[in-house]
Amino acid sequence: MTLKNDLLLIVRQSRTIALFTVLVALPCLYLLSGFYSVGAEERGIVTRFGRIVQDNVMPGMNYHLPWPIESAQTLSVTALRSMDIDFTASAPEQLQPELTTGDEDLVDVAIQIQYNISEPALFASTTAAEVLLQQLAMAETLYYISANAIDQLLTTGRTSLQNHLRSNIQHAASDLQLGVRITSVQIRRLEPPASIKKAFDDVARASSEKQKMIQDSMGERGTRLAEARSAANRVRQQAAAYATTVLERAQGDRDYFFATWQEYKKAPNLEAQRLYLEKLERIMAPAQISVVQPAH
Amino acid sequence: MKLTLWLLGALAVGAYLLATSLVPVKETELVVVAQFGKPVRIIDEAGLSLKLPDPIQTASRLDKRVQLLPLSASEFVTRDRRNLVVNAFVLWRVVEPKTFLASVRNAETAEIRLESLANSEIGAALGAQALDAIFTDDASAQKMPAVFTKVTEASNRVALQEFGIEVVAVRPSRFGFPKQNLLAIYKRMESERDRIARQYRAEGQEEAARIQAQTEREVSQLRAEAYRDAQQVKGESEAKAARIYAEAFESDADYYTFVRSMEAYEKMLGKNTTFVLSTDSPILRYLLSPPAGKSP
Repeated sequence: MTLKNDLLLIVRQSRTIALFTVLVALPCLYLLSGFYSVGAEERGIVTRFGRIVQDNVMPGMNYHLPWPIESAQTLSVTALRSMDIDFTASAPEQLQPELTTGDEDLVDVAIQIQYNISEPALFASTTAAEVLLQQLAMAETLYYISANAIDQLLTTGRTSLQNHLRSNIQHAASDLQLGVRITSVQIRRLEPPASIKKAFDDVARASSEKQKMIQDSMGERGTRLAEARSAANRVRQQAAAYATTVLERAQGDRDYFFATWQEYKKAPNLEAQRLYLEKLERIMAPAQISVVQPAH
Repeated sequence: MKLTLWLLGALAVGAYLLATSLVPVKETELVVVAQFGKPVRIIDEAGLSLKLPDPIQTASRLDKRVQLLPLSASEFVTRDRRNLVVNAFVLWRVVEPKTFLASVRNAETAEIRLESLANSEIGAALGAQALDAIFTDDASAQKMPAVFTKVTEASNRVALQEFGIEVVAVRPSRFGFPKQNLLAIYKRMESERDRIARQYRAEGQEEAARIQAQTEREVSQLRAEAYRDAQQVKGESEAKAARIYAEAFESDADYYTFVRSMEAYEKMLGKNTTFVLSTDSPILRYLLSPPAGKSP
């Protein structure tokens, strides 16, 4: 009896506590279960009976109506996500490892896509959004590679490939409402197949050899033309010097002639005789002279 | 006591009715309400909906999101009998739940049907194209995206009608030649690179030779021009000198000839000249016969 009495006493005494627990504490705990926090890099999505009612809850402490009415989900959105696609490494067994270019050559390609989540609600309500994105990116890469010649891809095509892929993948992702924003597409690798890389390197070498040959002969041409110009200049200067000499001498000779002639005119015979003897003297003095008596 | 029992019973029945007639629908799903097994209503709006309680009406849920179905790589033949290995993927979603449930019932069956549908459409579309319309370095003439758009449209038509499925896209993730062709392609690429390298080197030599020849030509032109100018200057100066001399000559021909001849003799004759003079010669007139003087 005493045990029963004791138990009854305890029940009677704890009834207030039990009542308090049932009527106040449990509902309070139930209501408190609706608090949730959204991290600095996250956004929250609140659904009420499955329907999305808030799709962009900002970071901080937030509240949703408790289960089963509403539920919340957080997604890391501001963080930049990246995805690597290596075509060569992921080739199926019966297929060539490289991609085929527009001129039916093969090229080894790996790209990296960087993206973030622009619309959390869309992203959260898509099946395997990232796998989808990868497949779409592969299709766009294929399309581009198979529409361009290998030389163009390996030289000038890189930047345009990146830009083309970024806008086309974005376009495809928007069409499917993946809720992602492609920030960039980087080419990790865009090379000829490893086994015949040597042949491609040789082409690059040949191209620079060609440039060198042309540069060398241009250099030689410069030197030779400069030499030729200076030689031509020398010839002209010499000719001018010669012309001056000839003219000056002619004028000198003429002046001399007229000066002596003036004298000569005054007494032609005498002057001629004198001049004749004077010259004769100058001509004959160094020469050898034999004088003979005519035999008559 | 009886009342409590009744109350408890009513509560249990009420809870059961509430639980089975309230249907929370997620954003990502479609709910098909069937009355005694026959589909009567489709709920495609997210949120809370009502139906008659089980077992009168039952709800079955279908994913309405876009599903990704990767196809295994298969070999196809183009119009010009070239083999291609294509790895494609299908994006699909349920749009007509009644048709879907009646024809394929679940996603697994749907995927098997879709795979064979997509493969046969790809085969038909590729079989109608020549290889050079698929791989081309002219992006505007490229048919590959168009081929897959056509495959998508054709598959969609059939899938929509037969399975209640919308085919959102069929696209390739890998596209190329079978592996057994690989060595031949590598060889072709290698010999093509060799040819290009040889061409570069030949072009380099040709260009260098052209520059050298042009240099040669310009150098001789420069020389010839200089010679021409020099000769002109010289000629002019000599002509002028000749006129100057002529001036002198015209004023007194005899005297000029005399003076000029004497000058010439002076230059022509020198040390090594031997004169043989007769005593009769006028220069030696006075040598042996002194002048007579004024007397006798």
